Amino acid sequence: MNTAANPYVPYKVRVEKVTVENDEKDLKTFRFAFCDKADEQKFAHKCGQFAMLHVAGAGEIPIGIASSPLDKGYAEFTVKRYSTGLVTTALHDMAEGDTMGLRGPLGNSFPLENLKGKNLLIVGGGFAFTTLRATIRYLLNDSVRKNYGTITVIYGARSPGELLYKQELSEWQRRSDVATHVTVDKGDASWKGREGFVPAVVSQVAPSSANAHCIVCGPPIMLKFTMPPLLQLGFTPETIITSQERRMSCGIGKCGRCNIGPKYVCKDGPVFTYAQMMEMEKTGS
Amino acid sequence: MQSVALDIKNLRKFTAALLKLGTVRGPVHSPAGVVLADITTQSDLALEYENFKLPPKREFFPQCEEITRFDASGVREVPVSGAADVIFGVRPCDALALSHLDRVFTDDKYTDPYYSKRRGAALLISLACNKSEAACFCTSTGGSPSSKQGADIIGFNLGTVLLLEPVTARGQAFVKKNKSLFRDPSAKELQKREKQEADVAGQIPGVAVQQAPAALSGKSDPAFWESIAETCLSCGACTFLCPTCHCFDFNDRTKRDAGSRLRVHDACMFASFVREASGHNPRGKKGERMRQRVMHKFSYAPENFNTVFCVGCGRCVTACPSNIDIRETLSKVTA
Repeated sequence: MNTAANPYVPYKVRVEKVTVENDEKDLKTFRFAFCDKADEQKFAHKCGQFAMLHVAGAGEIPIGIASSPLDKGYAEFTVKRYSTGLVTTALHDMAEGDTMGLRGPLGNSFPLENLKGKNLLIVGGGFAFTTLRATIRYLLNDSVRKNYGTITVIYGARSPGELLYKQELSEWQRRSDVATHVTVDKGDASWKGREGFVPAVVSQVAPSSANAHCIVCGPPIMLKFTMPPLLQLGFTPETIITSQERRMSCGIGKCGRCNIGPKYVCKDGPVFTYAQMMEMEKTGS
Repeated sequence: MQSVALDIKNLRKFTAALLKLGTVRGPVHSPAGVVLADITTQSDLALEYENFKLPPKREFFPQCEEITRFDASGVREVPVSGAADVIFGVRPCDALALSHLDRVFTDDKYTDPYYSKRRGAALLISLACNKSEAACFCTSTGGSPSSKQGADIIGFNLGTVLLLEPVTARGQAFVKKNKSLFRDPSAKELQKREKQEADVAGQIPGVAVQQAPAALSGKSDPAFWESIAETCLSCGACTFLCPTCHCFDFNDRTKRDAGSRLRVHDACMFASFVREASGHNPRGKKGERMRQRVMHKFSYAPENFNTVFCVGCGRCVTACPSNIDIRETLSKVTA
């Protein structure tokens, strides 16, 4: 039977590399290689999309794709382990060389094609930074960077040890073609960077909204408090782009689970403008 | 299309013609009443029943099915099984519900292979209702006791005669192929059918469905939904019995190193339905879940599919252990 025709059958992937991202060791980045090279072509994704990770026996979860579409030969996902999470726990027990399932790419993507020529503000908080990391990696590629205006990144985590992708952050901070502002809620003895919550840092950095769009991802509480400063800076509900998460089973708009109002996060999203989000939340939760 | 008449005395021959097509499921007497089950002999077919307790969606979208098997070597697809070649005797409300589910399971991007293969395999012959049940309200939900949508052929039981009207080309082909079983209906028979249609439709009280989508867009007050859901036990009977509800979940079942991935019906009325591993639950309250269920059927579906996802079969009304009645809910919404 042709498995490509069955949207519920995953690609077989091999865990190529596992990176522990934080001090609490509950955030790991998994690098998967496709066991069948042909599957890699089929998986071609865009920034902002997600995929279902299947650990046989434990189940399947939707996770944003953290690698850039230009990263060839693998796909990366950063996953937080919850003791209450069957799949995240099983996933964290996987070792390099183990095989599992990957289904996707799913959902829509950040509208980067339509944003060519624009200035971009990218704001992320906590471990919702994953698809933003994919986006930044993509935008900073030599073949892509020239298509966009200024790029400003604001990224915050609870503490220095909880920051994701530390090495890349410092690489970006050394680059002149991207302004990278990293903040932590509370620093420690060795922390020399910024302290403060993301919404406050947005106001301090105050990037211009002229000819600009903002892509913002974070926990619900951060999103809630980041919108007012963004609007204050002149961004509009139409130029603020965000990504949503919901529990999902199918990922293709059939299992009836992940809707916010009339829209399915899996199929109509996960990327929505703030204007769309406000509209959806009027009629459902 | 032109109707044909089948004299009931030829019902066995008709059943034999259906059996020639393969597996036939239809109304069969059982200790639990008339149920939709396999017809194995020519005399199995029952014609006197109101509706099946369980919705026929289960023929295409079973409550539990194995979709893949896995072991150390990887994941293998399980071929679609249990498809019937003929399904006979589905009521028009349930056939209409299937036409709604068709649009969910096959959209412009993804086709659900399990549902669509079973649906494609079956010739669907619906049977118009000869009387209504207490909780019926199909005439308010875009259907009627004789609506044809979703069926290949619709039948009308006139007592000594079964009138069969092909709805699709596939239905037409079946009638043509078996034309020796049928004769042209008399003018009197056609009149009787018309009167029966009008009589049954006339028995069915109206419910405020058409006004619901507009009224619901303003119903965001949590207290309103908590009051509707107050007596709800979150048992999910309404959703499992609903012919349009299609929420499902996947579960992995393992035995040592091998296992199966199962697709099972799920229900938006369960507290765990959207609860995430972090503990975050976007619809943690009963009122929020009730709102989701009502909105999905009477607001989101009209927005996405231009039709309500309720066919007025009344199963949820009859089955609810705490007497929550969607007809009353809608009248409160539109009041």
